[in-house]
Amino acid sequence: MYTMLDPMSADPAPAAPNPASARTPAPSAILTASRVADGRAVYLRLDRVWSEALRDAGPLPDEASQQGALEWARGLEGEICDPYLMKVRAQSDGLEPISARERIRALGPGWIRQRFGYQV
Amino acid sequence: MFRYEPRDEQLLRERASQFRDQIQRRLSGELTEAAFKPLRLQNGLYMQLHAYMLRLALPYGQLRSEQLRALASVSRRYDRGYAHITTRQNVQLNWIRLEEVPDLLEELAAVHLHAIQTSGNCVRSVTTDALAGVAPDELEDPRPYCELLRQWSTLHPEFAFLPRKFKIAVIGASEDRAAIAAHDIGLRLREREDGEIGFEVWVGGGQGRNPVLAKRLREWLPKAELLSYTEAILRVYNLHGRRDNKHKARIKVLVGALGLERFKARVEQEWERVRAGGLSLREEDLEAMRRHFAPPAYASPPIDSRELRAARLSKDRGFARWADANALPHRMPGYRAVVVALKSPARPPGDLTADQLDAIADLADEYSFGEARTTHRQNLVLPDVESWRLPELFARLEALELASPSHARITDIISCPGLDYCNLASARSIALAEAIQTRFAEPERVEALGELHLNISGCVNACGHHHVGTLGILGIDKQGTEGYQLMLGGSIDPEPRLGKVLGRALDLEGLVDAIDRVMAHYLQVRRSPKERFIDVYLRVGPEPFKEVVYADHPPPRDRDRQLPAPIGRGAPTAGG
Amino acid sequence: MIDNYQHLSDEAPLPPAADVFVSRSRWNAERETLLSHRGRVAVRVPGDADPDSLHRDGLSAIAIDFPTFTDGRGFSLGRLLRERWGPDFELRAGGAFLRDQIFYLSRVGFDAFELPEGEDLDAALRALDTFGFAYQPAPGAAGPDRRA
Repeated sequence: MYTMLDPMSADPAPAAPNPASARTPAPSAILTASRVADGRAVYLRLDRVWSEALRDAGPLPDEASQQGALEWARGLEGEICDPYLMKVRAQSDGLEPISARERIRALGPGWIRQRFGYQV
Repeated sequence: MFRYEPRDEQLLRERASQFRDQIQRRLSGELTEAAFKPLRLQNGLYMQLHAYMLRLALPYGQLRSEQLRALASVSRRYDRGYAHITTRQNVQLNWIRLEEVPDLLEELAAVHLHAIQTSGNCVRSVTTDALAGVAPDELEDPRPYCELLRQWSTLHPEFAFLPRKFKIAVIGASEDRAAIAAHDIGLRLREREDGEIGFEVWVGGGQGRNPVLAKRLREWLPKAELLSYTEAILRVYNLHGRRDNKHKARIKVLVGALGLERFKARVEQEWERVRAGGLSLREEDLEAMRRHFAPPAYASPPIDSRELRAARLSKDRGFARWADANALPHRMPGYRAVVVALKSPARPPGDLTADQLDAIADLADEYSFGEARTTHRQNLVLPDVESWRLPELFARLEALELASPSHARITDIISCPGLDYCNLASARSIALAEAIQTRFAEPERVEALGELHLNISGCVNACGHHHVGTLGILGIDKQGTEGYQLMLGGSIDPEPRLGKVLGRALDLEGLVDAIDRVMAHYLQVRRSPKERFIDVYLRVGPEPFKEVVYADHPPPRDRDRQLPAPIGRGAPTAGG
Repeated sequence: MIDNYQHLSDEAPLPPAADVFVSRSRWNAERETLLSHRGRVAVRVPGDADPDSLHRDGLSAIAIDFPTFTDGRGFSLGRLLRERWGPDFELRAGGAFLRDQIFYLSRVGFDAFELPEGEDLDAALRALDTFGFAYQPAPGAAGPDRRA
């Protein structure tokens, strides 16, 4: 799995951060979509193959590469649908989504459910 | 309950076959997503965050035990072994593969279950009171009329591409247990001065971004004209509802724009034309339909409930507490309608496992003539249980973890799936529900707090009905972090009333604290245990509650916007 | 379906004795001429046309053009026309509609369909038989016995 704050840890928040810290990398974008066969969130690799794992996603560093990937993805009707660009931050051990929605989308629904075995 | 004839079954098979063809064309790329989407929505298939979600119709909440078993079976075979009950009495599966949908639907068609029109811009599943046919205060059983409306609306060729979704609810009592005040069309059975029973017709209710309570369109409509009048309303809506803006497309906007009188004039004009046609119901049609809902063979006289009295007086208050909350009055002496609570700290509200579905099927067969109902508060009901058997039923439910004494209490939480599942959501609702359940885990406290409806919506679309909760919570996205707005004082009955926001949004932990404080204050200021929270709120207003919630909260710190906010902060501990 | 009509633009001359489709505005502007025309005359209207603004007037057919397939006004419009004018005219569906809507269109009274380019004719014909039974009476039908 990619880096992410463990929801089950007692103190998930980092110590008071300095907003101007140079350690905080700038966000970049990756392309994501929904797989037609099963609705699963998939992420586009650099070799234009779709992967279920966020860590495999190819970062798109600029406007040109982002729009190019998006246009290409919009032409694929049978395999995926609703492609869009998603903001991520590169950490030392992988990519991390910025929004809560994308974290849940990558991780799956509530960890409580997983704990009580609803997830197979 | 209504029994399908071969022609009804045929329709389900043909529909499943039609959808199979459409899915084939989608998988081959012949149908684009844009063309496919409205078609799959009319078959209840949503694209959500993680997978397709299939919403199955349980018309007016009725279920036979064989259908419960079929749901268990498909949830095991095609899903992940659990199902979710919705606020419109339907059931949802969350992990569906597109190509398996036709087989799934075929399997369900064999027991008369389907997903027809549970989404899309068409007439949705008709809902009613879960106690229909057994409530002691009911004027007349609304279910025959629900079934007539179901047939009229199913695959209605003219109204499959409406400006927006359309929801109808029917109630047979004066207490609005079906929330008709929040529906596009609400129908209430009522008695005229001369004693004849007909329908009071309400129109234009709806929650969502701009909640509106329904207005009374017609004081009394003869039963025979139920379908013709509804058709007239739909036709006026189809022709004149707005199509330029999705958020202004419900019938409530049309009624508001025209004004009730002008809207009514158009409906009545169209109705004059329609009622001359084939939609008027004859007395024999009504009688035939009522026969489908004839009461079961109740035991009479009811058996003496010595065991019941003993159980109630026992030192272990568990049974008494459960019976007081969940065993509801029934029109037949010696019977109760039992709420099977799908609420606990260990589960999302309204969820149940395949094993529990199977077990409830057995309980329905053994205790309730093979019948169960879903409720709009996301629970199940066994409608016809003999009182003397309550202690043994309680024991069985307890063993299944379905005996939370929560009905109409603070732990009877309504919650939409929220950000954990839903594409539209702004915040998680399930996590909040579970945190509240854990905070209010003490049964004595829950019992002391009395009657409360706590409703959570994960976004402004209000699928959790937060506008009409005694405590309503709206999840919002506050610049990338989850925030929760608390509103107080909403109700459906006796007066439909929209809740008012108490103050600024709080984070998850803060909101659970806020509810805790509100409840503590309520207990402090109430004049007696008989004064419910809503009564106190109406007496003292929001200010005292606002004070206790926000008084010593410091203003929000400047957060570091560059670091993502953690999910799961303040998460409940295991075991509740 | 073989289309026997010629579809005239607003400026095209009226071919003598031919069956023609004209736009609503042309019909309104040239009604006298068109009424005395020796071929059949039909008119095209958009899906959001006001049903009360349309009159039979000797038209042999009317085509309702759906602006998008999700705009369902044409279903009510078509149905009202079929109910008001009876069975003796062609009610045609045009514009943007899906072959998956053909069954519903036929149930509200459409009896002709302008299929988009490349649409499979056999599949479209099969679509007319999607369901063997309907709960709702077709326009003009009386009583509770509802057969597709």
